Amino acid sequence: MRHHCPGYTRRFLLGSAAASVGSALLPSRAFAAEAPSAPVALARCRSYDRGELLPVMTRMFDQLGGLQKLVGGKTVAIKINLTGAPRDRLGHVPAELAHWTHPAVIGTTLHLMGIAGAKRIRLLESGWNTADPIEEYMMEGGWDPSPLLNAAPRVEMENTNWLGGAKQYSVFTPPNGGYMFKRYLLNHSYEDCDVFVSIAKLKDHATAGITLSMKNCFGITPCTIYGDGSPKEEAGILPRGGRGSVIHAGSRQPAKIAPSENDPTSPRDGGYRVPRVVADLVAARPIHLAIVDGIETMAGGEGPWISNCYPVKPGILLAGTNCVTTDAVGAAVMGYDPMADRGTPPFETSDSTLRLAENHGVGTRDLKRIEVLGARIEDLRFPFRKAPRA
Amino acid sequence: MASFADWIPLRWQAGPLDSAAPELARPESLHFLKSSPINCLVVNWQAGGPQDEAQRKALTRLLGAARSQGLAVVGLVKNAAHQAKEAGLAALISDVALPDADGLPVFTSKTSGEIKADVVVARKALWPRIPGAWRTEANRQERADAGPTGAAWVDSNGWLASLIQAKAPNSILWLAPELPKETSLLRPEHYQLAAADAAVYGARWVVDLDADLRSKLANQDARALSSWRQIAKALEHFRKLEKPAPVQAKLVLVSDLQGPEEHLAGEILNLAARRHLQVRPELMSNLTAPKLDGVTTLMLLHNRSLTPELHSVLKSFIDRGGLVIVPASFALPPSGLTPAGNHDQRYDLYSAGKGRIAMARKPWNDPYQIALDAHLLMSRKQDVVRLWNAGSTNVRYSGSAGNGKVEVLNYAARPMGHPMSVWVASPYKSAVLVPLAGERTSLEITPKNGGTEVALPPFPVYAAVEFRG
Repeated sequence: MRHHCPGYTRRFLLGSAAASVGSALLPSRAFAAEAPSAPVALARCRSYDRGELLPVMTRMFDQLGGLQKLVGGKTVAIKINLTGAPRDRLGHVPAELAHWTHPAVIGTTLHLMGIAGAKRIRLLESGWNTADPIEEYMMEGGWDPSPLLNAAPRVEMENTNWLGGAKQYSVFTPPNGGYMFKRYLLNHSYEDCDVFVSIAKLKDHATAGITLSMKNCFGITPCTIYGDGSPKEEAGILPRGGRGSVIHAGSRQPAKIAPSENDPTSPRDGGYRVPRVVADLVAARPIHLAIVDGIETMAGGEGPWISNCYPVKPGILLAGTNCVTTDAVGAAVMGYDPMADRGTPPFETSDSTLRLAENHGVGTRDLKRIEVLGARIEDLRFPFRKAPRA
Repeated sequence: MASFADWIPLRWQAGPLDSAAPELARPESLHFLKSSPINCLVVNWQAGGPQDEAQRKALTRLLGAARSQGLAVVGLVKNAAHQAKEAGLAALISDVALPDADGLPVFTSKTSGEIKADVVVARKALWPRIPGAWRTEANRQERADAGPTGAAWVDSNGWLASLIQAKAPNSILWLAPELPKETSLLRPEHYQLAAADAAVYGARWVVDLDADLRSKLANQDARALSSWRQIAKALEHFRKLEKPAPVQAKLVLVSDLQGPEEHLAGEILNLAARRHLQVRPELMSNLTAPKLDGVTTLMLLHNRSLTPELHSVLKSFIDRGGLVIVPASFALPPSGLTPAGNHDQRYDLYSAGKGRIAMARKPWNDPYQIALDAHLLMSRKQDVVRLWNAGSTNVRYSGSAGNGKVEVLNYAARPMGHPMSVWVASPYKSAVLVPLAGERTSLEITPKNGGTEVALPPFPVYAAVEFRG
């Protein structure tokens, strides 16, 4: 049940979520040195064939303690990554083999969650510049959503780029007053769940250095409020444009229904702003399970709109119950030092989301404190800066 | 002389009515047309003003040369034939009746309302292009036009051609757009696009060349002749094509195609094209049950009384499982409907028989929203063709399950940054690429979602894929 206060719904209660999934998985401290750790399952998986994918993912979830403990009897919300317009492709490469989470990874997760007793599962994404149903968005991208809808009992989809089926937006509050905004207004689906999952793609990112399970959550912000074409006062009815002006460039503020940024004198630089918004979001809306699809992906950027990027086949899957530890291992597998900061690859022109999220108390990025289960990082390392074209 | 259907017209401005250089009226100015597909000249003949006589005199020698080159000459007139027959003209173009035509065929340039003519010349056609991409020093400060889709706005004529053909299915259609004012930016590819934009929809472009190119061609300038050869190659390519097969559309737009309905239909067709949604307009009075074979959705623009025959056709369509989208205030049947929710607060839904009715809650006013809603109401499950990396393109899919053809028009007139992929809903066994220039080549096909996907190489203007079942 949601709780209401004038103008907003109350933010997701960490306490209730913590009771559901175990407090060890959730951020509780505000200092990097004390940021929690959690194991990360790392596996070789060379194809999306069910015969290979299902046993690999089953083993990975078992290594993390089993899905039943996490999702049994729970309502699960899964943020997937369908970034960019559905008709964009990297050359002729279908989106799922370059910049979108592959439907086989999503479908296998749904299937296993269904077996684990998930009560209801909702797939979430904010479709680019549209409030169309996500099923329609997938079809435009060339997918058939039916297998996903039938992969487990009670699977639904919602486009979270707008208000959707609720009467009001849900309010989420990052710790310490937030790096960029003290509160974020999101679609109700991010509140109406017991368990929140991010299924991301293993990619470089032109603005934030890398995009894995945390950066995937950049897309949970509705463009009716944080979009280029959102009205100045109230939220727009339909989303218009992307998040370039409000979040990347800071050339305008969100619709006034949401708080303006904390410090209007802060740098108007995407490399400063985007990692901070992402760190705020994953602290305010905790991720209980992070899954990163690195089987087939792209190097050099997050989507085909970035110059000089190309398809690659790392053949890797990652999963973890802490998004910072999972992304830290992901960064290491990509050939980057998760302890790196601005000026050092992959953060040549950005701040490190890993560090910012760590400082919010979400999790540690220090590999010495992270237990890696299954494969070893050094055995699966796939340096993205030197990656061979697939 | 070739029949009207075979005429490939060239607009030639060569007299005082055109303020053209006198050299363009010299017989030699037409030499560059030898060995080209052009077999018809369109000239200004009468404007109802004091210069008509001078125009006639200026063209005398040119007309003689044209005839000796085997070119039919068609005169554009305002309201009088003005001795056209004596001068050897083969036909006239006017938007009014010409009592003094003396038996000469009169092509109509009237495209709204009812159309009756062997040849319809659509002078309100637009020069096909992405207007916002045409940057000159003069217009650099102007804002690029963005369409409601969020993508760049495209000027195209498929909607206009489809609309005219729905009203006058037996007429030959010529598209005669005015040249863009930024003529310094024109490349041969832009002219090729004008030819393709008409041909894909079964129309003929009235070739129009900018003044500088015309002048250089008349003087046999080598570079201009090279450009002309590229243009002529496209004209020849489309000359050889058979008349396009009917569009494969699961959505049919039904209207009387008069007045406001005609305008709305045109806008919806134009904006649906930006979503690559295949739509066929149908004149209400011509609609019969067989015309709805294979159609899943019918959008009725008409909200006045329907004939009993049309009622019967609609009822049968719904009973078979069809979706009918109707405007607000449409008189729904008094019984047999079950409320079935709403679509985004904009349409009330009803189930009836095996089908559905979606009735707009408010009068329609935003054509893009209408097209978008129609697409969502029918669902992209009904898509017959999808393209990727094709933001500045329109596509036409024709043929049948056993023999399909996809034609892609690239309004950027230069290859895309990323090459395109095309998917069609039918499971074909082979595909052949037919480019505007170059050889036919087999394409590798990938079965996907019950259909067929192919990867296209980069192309600047036009490409067709012929599928075989």
